[in-house]
Amino acid sequence: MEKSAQASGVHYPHASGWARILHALLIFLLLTSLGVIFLAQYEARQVVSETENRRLAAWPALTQESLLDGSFARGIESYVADHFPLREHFTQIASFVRANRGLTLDGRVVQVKGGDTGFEDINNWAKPQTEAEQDQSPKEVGADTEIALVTPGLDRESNASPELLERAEGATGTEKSDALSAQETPPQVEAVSQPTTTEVASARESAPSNVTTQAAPQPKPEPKPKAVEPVPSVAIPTPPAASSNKPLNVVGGVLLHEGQALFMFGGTDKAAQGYANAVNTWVDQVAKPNNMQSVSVVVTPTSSHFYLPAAARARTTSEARNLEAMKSALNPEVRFADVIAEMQDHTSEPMFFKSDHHWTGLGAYYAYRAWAQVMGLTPLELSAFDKRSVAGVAGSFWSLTQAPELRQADKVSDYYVPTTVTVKSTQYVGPEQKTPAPHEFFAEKSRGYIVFLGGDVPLLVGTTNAGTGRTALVVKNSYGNAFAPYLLPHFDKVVVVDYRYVFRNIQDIVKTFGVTDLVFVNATITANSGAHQERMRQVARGTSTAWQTEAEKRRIRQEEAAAAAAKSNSAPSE
Amino acid sequence: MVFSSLVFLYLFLPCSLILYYFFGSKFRHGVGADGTTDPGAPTEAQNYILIAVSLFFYAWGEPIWVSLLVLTAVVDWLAALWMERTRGTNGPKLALALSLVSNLSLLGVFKYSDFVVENVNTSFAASFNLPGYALPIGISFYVFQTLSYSIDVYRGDVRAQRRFTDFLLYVSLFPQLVAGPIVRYVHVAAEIRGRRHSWDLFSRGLHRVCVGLFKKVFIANVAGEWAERTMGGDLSTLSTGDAWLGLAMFALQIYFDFSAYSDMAIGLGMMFGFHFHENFNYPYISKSVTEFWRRWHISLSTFFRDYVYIPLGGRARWPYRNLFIVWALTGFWHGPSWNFMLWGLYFGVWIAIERLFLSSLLARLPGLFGHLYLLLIVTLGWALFYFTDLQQLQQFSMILFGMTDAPLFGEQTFTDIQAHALWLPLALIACTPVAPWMSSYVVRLNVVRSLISWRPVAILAVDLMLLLSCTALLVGQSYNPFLYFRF
Repeated sequence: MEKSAQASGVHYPHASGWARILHALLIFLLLTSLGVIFLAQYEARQVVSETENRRLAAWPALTQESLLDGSFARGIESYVADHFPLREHFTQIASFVRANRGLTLDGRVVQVKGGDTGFEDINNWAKPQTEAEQDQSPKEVGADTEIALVTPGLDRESNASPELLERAEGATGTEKSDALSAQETPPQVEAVSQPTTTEVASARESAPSNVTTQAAPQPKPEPKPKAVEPVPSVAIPTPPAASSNKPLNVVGGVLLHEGQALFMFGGTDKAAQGYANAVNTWVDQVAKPNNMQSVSVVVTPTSSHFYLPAAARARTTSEARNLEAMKSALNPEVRFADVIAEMQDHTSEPMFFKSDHHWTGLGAYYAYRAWAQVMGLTPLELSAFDKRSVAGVAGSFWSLTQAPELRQADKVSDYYVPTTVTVKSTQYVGPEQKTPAPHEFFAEKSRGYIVFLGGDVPLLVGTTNAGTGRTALVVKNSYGNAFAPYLLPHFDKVVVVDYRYVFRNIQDIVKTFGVTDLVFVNATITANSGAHQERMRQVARGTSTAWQTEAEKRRIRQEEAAAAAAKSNSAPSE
Repeated sequence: MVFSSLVFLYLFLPCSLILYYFFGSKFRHGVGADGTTDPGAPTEAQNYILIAVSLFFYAWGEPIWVSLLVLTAVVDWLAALWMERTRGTNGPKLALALSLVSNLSLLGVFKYSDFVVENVNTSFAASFNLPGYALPIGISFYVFQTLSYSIDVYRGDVRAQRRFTDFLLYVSLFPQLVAGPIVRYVHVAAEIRGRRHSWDLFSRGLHRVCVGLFKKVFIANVAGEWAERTMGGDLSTLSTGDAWLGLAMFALQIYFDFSAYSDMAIGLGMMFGFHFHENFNYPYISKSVTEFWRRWHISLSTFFRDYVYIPLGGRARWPYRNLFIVWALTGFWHGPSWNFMLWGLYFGVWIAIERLFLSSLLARLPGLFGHLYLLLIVTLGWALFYFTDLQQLQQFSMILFGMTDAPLFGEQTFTDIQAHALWLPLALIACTPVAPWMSSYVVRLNVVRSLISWRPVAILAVDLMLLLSCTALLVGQSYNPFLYFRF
């Protein structure tokens, strides 16, 4: 800038000194004061951002390694970004700027960060929730509060569930990813490139052997008319696959339409099969060895399946098709709930939040009905539950898009409390997640979606007086929070495990609580995420040391040492 | 550490400034060559502080390789001293050779060794292991800086720096260390001890920093996202329109990214009293490739001109051979890959063509033709720059020229354009020197003359707005590296 001015021979008259001093001082003061405020706030830092519904970056661990390889410095940068003073205001300004870069049209699509990991940032699962953090989760009513005393006649299941152990033949061979080594750090979404079925593998180009093989073109889904869908699905090209460093965008953005935020779904058949693959791993590693009586899968579509306008639908992939692909890749004995069938008659009811990516208590209820159908159980009617409400909150979609129409879009959050059983519930905390602490299934002092389970609890066990002799293990992410309470009338114990945060050995959990039934709860967007799938597999296998107790780690180290010793005695291979 | 990060802006920079200016005039001043102290000059303490914060800045990103930086400085400082000591003998030649060998081999090993081994493997069907050295940040820059020093001392253009700390200050100065202009020692030699601090300079530097930050966060990052979506995505589904748009966005990204860094570097230098030379002068308004390279990455092209082209004979002897050598090297400096060398040679070809007949032809046509010609050539050149995989490059080029069955426009093309309908004109206008034009126009209006003294206040308002909105965009976006960081 200066050069051009000098080159043209223009000489600025001497600007008065005080104005320059003012300029220099004010900006310098701005820089300094925000820095000082940031440092001063160190003690009072937030751990969880309510508005963004995620854990904020923690101060990185200072080790020689992290210092030398630069990860400590990078960790500090994330920390500063996440804990910057006036963060809420700055993010509002940022959203305003982003939203106003172009013409605002109704039905605008907002690109959201985190769309690649199915909207639930895996970087926030890096460490299991510590006790300190758990103390900050909302405190519920006392643990001894019982829910109800009435016990009407309860329908037991009429069909005998297939004995999983009798099945001699193996699964449909979808699990091929043992090549993936166990990782300490949260896996990046590159894991989605793992071959699942042979047909899919052949569709990929022969790419270099590094894990980030995103150059492979995704197969185009052919148009398949679906009887269940209210809108016919058209030939939908998949969204562009990512470059070598970026994962596939399961969510291609968020559409704002008629006061509601809807995902632009971009999941593929292959991703759906990846989820089925993860469930099958659980069947092999957890259900079969422990002689479980049933394995059921509940995957809900998102609101966009029902409410997305036709024009936008052309830029998305079909969730119904995605669920079909998932179902067909599951082991035959796994029961897959047809959630769409139950929900599609109730689209005028509030099944999903408008400003949050989760479903409501009502939406979870219809999924419960779908689940009960495949389990051969009779679902309780909605009237058998005690309907209560808490205030709604401007949810995750609002945080991300800052769209004004979403701010007050959810006025209430209804939840349905089982009345037919009494429940005592406990969560398990501590370094090995074995220390019981009181916790309720409904956080009645919270708002919005947090009312369900009070947020994401790694390990929660509800004991009822249902008297069915069955214990359910619910393997879920945040979507399971609204669903889990509906299982309480049907099981003696409902063990709720959040696969993202649990690190207690799963076999230990199964044996300790005598689990007889596995229930998987997920949503299409997260089920399609390679990161979620890989985490589920890790929990099933107990392959990451993060999931193991100290005793387990010692045992594994001993085993590995023994194996290494044995190997070095035999002839060296390669 | 990246200039466009919150840690840098709100923690590192205020601390450095406070430390630096606190140890100002109350403390001991530097002693000039004539033995007197100059109260306006920086103090000893200030220079030491500047070295310390610069090394800290570098170590933040490269905790280990900061040692390499210091080593390079030591070697060249000693070499230059030896040159001066042994003037008139073969000493200077040996010292220069030592300096050249050590600098270039460092660069070669850390930056190009993988490339060499790969090519040996493919040529001879061997399978040597790749050494896999991690590239220390900024090595391409500081190696060239110290090289320029040794060569200038050898030629007698500048006296060798006797004090190591002063020389280290030059090498490690954090504004230009990592991706800043290649600052020649001869340009800042006097300012190491003799620079003057002033509110005016500080304020102008701050303004420059705010402008650079804006260019980076507002324009370069947005253009980069767009470019990455198209060029970094699945080429088999890319439409021709999207390909051109993506390429244009990459052209914008790389210009704004790099020139923003240079702006911030120059601004930061000013805040500490240094005057660096301009590195970019609105290259996209050029009317020929020759002019473009006088406006783009000026410090690099002048480096190659002064230290490679002219010693080889310049225009006098073997002009075209020299031209192609220089352009091959310029391209190759940008990255250890054949496409970069091709990119350099591509420009070499066009400059040769212009020399032969095109310049005189363009001079006779209206300026618009030259301008459009330049934009086309440069934009196509960026495709060469982007794709390190030559196969992908070929695929992309075919899409560009409609030689595949890719559609003309994709589904997202118009949505993307609409979504950036306000940003796009801003980015395009920012490529032109509209701000100086307006400033000089305003100055010429006599009516407004009396208001000129309010100009800094207006600039203050603008800077505050830029700073706050850039900060807003940076908050919640924790990974934001400059493109040229791989150098």
